[in-house]
Amino acid sequence: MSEDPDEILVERYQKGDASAFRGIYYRYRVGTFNFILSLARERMAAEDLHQEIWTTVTRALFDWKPTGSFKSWLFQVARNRCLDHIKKTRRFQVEDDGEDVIENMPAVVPERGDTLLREALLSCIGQLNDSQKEVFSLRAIENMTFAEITEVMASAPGLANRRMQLAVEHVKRCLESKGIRQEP
Amino acid sequence: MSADAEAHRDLRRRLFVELSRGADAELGKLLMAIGVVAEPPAHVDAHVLLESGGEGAQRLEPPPWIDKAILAAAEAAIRERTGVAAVPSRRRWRSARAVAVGTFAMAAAVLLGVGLTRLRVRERGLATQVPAADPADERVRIAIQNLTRDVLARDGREAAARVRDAEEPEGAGPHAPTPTWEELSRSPRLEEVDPSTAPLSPAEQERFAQGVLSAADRARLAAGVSVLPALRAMLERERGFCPKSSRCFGLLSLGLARFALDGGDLVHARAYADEALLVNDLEVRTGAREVIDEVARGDGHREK
Repeated sequence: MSEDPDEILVERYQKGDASAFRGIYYRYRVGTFNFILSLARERMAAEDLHQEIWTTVTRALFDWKPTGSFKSWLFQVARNRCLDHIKKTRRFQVEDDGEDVIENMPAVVPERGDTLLREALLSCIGQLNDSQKEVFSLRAIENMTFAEITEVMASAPGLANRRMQLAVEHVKRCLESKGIRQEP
Repeated sequence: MSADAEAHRDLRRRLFVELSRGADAELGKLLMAIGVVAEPPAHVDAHVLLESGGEGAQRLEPPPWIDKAILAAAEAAIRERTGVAAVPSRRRWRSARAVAVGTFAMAAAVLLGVGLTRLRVRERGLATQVPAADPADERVRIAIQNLTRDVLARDGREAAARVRDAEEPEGAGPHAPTPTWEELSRSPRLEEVDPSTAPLSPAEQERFAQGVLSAADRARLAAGVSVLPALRAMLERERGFCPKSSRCFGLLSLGLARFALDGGDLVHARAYADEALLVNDLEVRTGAREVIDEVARGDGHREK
């Protein structure tokens, strides 16, 4: 995979280099797909949205200018389209409580790690509200800065930080309530 | 204390240290170590901790045909922008008007298939079927693709003119040369439809799929078994532009399964039928089951 920064790849793509797009796509395909899935909550819908979003991106990229982070822009495009989809399908409901997450977990036990902790953690994350989950995902998994998250979510400055704070506090309390504590 | 227990204890300690940092918590690597995220964030980026689909920490990727369709869309976008070859290959989105002429495209494709076969035979002075490796098959494939694309994207009358031209080139006599594929594939195109304003409705998707299948089916009848590989390639490509869970996708998958079955390729016939079976549509699923039964019977015959 190309090591070039996003902006360079985009510039090359704008000049007609298809391999540059391939570089961008493979850099973000898994990230965007999972982000879309986290919002759409249904694999088939996520696949359709993924294709649709990236197809739109292939055209929109020609007009993109490096005034901000490409990654933020990309996720913002994805997020906006997902929210449109959610509005249309009227399925924007919190369906997952912690127990469901546990019940639906695959039977694959990770080779490494603490299974009890893993399950408890998934359960606790599953209890976060949608906004908190979204921020938590972008911050902890996508490793985005709060500025980038603010851009992606088009939210007020400081809101992403606050949501992350609440999410982390909730997860910590939730783990403790399940008997998982920091051992001395 | 065992090494495992020690490791778990260390993990919990590190997790709580990070959680105590509130919004500044750096959780990516820890989530991976705990098994919530299956691979390093640098490679996996986002994993769905959250979705209720039950896929938990598994690494989730878009299917390869979607990757292919997206990369093809990028190439088409480049061609369109740079003007190197204005071939709009993003056919997932079309206006209702464009789709409405789809049926005509199929008839045009049939005519072209027949015309090319006739020209090919005339040129060679042979009345025998052309083997699969014949370059003319490539012309058939490209011509069908282009015609399908053309007529789905523009006025059918223009495509009809192209069919006539292909069938009876200017000054065509008994020894008129077979048109080159460049000639066949060269065509002005209409502007593409804005995808944000013209998504295909399910009914339009179905007409698109039915049209593609009809064209492929009739071209097969016209040109014989020799075009099967080309037609299968075409169907596969068209399928990449249907939403995966749609009836459109299912119909084309089923078509692929039947073409593979016709060609005696039981493995692919079964694979495509299995994919069609995933689409929630009675007709598609029934057809897929029939193919699977045929495959099973074929396997049985072979074993005997």
